[in-house]
Amino acid sequence: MYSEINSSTPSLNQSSVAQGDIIIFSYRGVFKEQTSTHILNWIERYLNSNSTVTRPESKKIFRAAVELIQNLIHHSSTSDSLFVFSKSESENRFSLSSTNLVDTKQSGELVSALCAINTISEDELRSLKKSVMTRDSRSEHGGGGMGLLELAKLSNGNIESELLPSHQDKLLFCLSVHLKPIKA
Amino acid sequence: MDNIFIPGTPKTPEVSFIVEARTLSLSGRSIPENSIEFYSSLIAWTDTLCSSEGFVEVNINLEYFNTSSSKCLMDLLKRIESANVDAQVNWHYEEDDEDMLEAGEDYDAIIDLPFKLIITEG
Repeated sequence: MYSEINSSTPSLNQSSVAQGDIIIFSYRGVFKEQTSTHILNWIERYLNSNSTVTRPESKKIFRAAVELIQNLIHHSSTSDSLFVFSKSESENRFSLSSTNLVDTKQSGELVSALCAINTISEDELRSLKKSVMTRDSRSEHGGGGMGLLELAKLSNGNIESELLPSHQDKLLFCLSVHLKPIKA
Repeated sequence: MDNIFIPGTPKTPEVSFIVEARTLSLSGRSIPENSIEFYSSLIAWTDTLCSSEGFVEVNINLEYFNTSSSKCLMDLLKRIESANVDAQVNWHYEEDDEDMLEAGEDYDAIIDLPFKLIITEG
């Protein structure tokens, strides 16, 4: 699936797909509800037809894809974003990556959330998720900011992120989630 | 007060809320972009049901749910918890699905209602 784009975000291709990874699927364009339906259907069909992926692994990958793609819809519905589903045979893992523009103002909050997630244990992550679940407050889109926590939990903390300069008051936010293992 | 039957879709669960039996059942997947829109009428229905005394049974048998839906499920269960009703939550999860088992355990830890974690075949 590929969407034509304009050249207003020239560095969008600088996604965080690692060198040597095989790209299974990528989509670049504006993310809408219908886009997400198509992409998720595609990923699900791919996983179901891939005999090397067990059902629990497949569900984990699908869950991570849901969170990542819906994050793009909620936070980047008016500008082009990039979503890549890839695998690394040498590292025995699947990866899901997203790249989207964020306001420079938002970046501090994002960095501190990611730093916090990356420094806590699995049990602490689960406790943090429970405490967010019980909070009455919600984010604008209903999840209360739980998306990143869920991604961290699904990947056992194997999350990488990067903020790259873009233009004016925008930064490119690259997020990669690595899921292991691929059973031979 | 009417029963609610909503067929499942690739993004929303099958809903079967039955007044007479006082049962609330959700199955399939719950990954809508706007879960608040989907769940608001279900939560309102739950409030009405729980305004009268009696046993309430909740059956949750979801293959997938997104974080936005998890907050909505929490809202729904909290409404039952705070109402003057006896209730039982049956949380179904597929064998080997550790994520769904953990989610059930987390709700069980947070919500003060009897929880039964039930393994289903994958």
